[in-house]
Amino acid sequence: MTGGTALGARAVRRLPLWLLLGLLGVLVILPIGMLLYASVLEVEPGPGSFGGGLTLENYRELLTPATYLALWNSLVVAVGGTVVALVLGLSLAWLAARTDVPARWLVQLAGIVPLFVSSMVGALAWSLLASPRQGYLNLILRDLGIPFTINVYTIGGLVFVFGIYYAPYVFLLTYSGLTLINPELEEAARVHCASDRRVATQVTFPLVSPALLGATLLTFALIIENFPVPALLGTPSGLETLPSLIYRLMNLAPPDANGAAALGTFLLVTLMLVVFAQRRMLGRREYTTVTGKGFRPRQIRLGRLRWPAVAFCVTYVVTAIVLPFGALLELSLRENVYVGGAADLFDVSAFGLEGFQVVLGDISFRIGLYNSLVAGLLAAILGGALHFVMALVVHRSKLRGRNLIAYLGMMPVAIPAIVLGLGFLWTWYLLPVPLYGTLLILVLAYVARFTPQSFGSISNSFRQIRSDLEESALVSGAGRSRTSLEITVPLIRSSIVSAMLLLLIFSIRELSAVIFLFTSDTRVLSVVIFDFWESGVFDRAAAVSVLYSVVLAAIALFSRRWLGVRDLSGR
Amino acid sequence: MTAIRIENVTVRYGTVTAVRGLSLDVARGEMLVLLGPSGCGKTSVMRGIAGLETPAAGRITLADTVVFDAGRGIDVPVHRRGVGMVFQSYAIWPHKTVFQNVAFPLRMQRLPRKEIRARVAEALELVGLADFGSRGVSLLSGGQMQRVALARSVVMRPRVLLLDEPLSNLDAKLRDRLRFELREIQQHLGLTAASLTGGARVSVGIAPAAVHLLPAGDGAA
Repeated sequence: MTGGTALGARAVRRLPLWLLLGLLGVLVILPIGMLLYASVLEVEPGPGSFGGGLTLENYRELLTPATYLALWNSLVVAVGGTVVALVLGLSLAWLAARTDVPARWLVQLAGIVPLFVSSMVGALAWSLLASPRQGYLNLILRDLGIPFTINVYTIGGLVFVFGIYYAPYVFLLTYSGLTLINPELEEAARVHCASDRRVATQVTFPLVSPALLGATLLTFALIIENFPVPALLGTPSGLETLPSLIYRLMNLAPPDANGAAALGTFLLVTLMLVVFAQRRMLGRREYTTVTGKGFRPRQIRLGRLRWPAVAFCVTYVVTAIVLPFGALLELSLRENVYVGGAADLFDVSAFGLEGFQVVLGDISFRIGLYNSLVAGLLAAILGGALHFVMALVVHRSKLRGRNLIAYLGMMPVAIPAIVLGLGFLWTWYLLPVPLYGTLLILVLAYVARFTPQSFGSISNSFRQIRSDLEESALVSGAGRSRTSLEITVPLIRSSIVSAMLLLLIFSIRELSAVIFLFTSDTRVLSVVIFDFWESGVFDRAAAVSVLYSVVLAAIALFSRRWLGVRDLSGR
Repeated sequence: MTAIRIENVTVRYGTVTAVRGLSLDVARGEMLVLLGPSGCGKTSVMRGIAGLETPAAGRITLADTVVFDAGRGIDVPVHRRGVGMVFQSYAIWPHKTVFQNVAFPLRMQRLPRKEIRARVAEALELVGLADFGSRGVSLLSGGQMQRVALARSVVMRPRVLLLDEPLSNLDAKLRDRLRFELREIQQHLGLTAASLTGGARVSVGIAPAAVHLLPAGDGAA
């Protein structure tokens, strides 16, 4: 063997690594680089016009009361929403996992709410229910003579809506922890004279506290980067958070792209700090005695508290699903949008399917549905393949630099979706590939945004394959690629399928990442709803929301056998 | 004639030395048993022979072919070493039938289908699972799994057969029976084998040659 061919062989062997690094560079690093670059540019970035002098002026111009207020609102809403989500989510998880609460399915339903109710649809529905003047709940209160108005267009309203729609994430993250505790640890406490309550407070909750801490920071991160909720519920009263302020800056005439970039950088750094803290805390989880063995934990008898517990769960489901969809249906079915009083709400004679017929025939709905499905499927296929190869290289190769791939793959966790969208926009202005204006740019944004979830779940299943299954194939004379094809892929097939289904659902559900990337031909369903809402056509927005949620629910129902509870928590 | 020759092999994991300067020869048709407490480096030696582990130093020769030589930069990849191995956990692929498991090494050698069928049948016969070919593996008992793993490792007529604590997962009675069967099969096929075990008892039944490894920290190998 001469030195030359050895070098050549080495280069060939490292080729997959370089290809992956290149792809992740374009999907993750370049958008962030463009964001940072745009934030210090003197002029607007535009197609083919990147350049000009550098300045820090964009950051200085951010020092305005509007920014401070948005920052303050973001923090208050994120803290408040996190607290509400924690209380709700943890209570539901504990009831479902450790007590004899009746109608357990009702509680477990809570865990899958986010699959088919996007935060945008939730916010839209709650604006129908509790806008100060025409909100359905307020009409009812008024007719009942109760001098009280629920106003969802307030900080409290945002906190409430975030709380109910992010509680499922807390539920998912703590539920498995609560079921996986070794029951002997609790029995030991009980034997040593602890009451049920003391066992819960002294043993159970301390054991799940690392998971709880992780869930807290994750929820905080998800809320602080959320764009649809403040856009829908904050805008009517001029209440802004950082993501909705970024959106407004981009929609000024002319847009303040550099300012948006600077603000986006600030939001990015904030989220990175939160995610970094979360990782540090989750990293220390190893010492806990939560093991993967299938214990059957002892159930606590609720006794007389059973019915209040059920009432609590029912209230949650009613608030998060029943009332919102009731309101969406109410508006989509009404022939006359105007509601005079509470009695009108229940006047069945005013209902008809005309609203749905109009929407089903509407060209923007049809294009949106088609685009959503095509882009979602493409994201699932391309993303699934990419994330599988990434996991394969990270877990089954000895190539130097494979850890960098894992690191880049997890990075989008710390990138706010709306900021990723901005970065994408400018990246494809710069690159000499005419991708802007096509569906493909949306697909790439979806793949980039959900890499951590999909790559993470495939990675987990790699870790669960005992390595001797593959080693015995190697010993039997199969090469590396033959081994992955014959042994590895069949063994983790179901996890690849589940990752692809997650990509499909998450992509269809996504609004923030593509809000700057669509053109009139490439609008997806989430964008169609947002546009109807923004232009004040609320009945159409409601009808499309119902159909949109039905599509998501159908996919979720179909995927149920592949999706484990754990996969859904995402990060 | 020497079937396995290990010269001055050292295996390191990071800063920990698992095996230091081990040398040994195994003659053709012989069965070597490596003994020693857990952590003494038995598994590292075996994985080094198979090519699953890369030693830091030394030379390994299998049937007059140098498969590893740290000094000369030779490192034949696992799948070209022609070694049969029974893993401690058996490593039977759960998504393949008994036949497919055993046929795998032959398919990798691209043998004609007819020959594969004949040799798999022969191997299954040898381990006493003649009628099990079409079965799935999830319903097999521990002893049956072990036999499948054994059939899979001898079907390719390996230069060397490696057995990684092959009996440790079985109950005592089954262990005694399989121990003699193992020895019989090995002699019947004239295979050179290296087996490792945590307890000294096993060697009484099957090993004409046994090497007792001490933890590397004790300065012996």
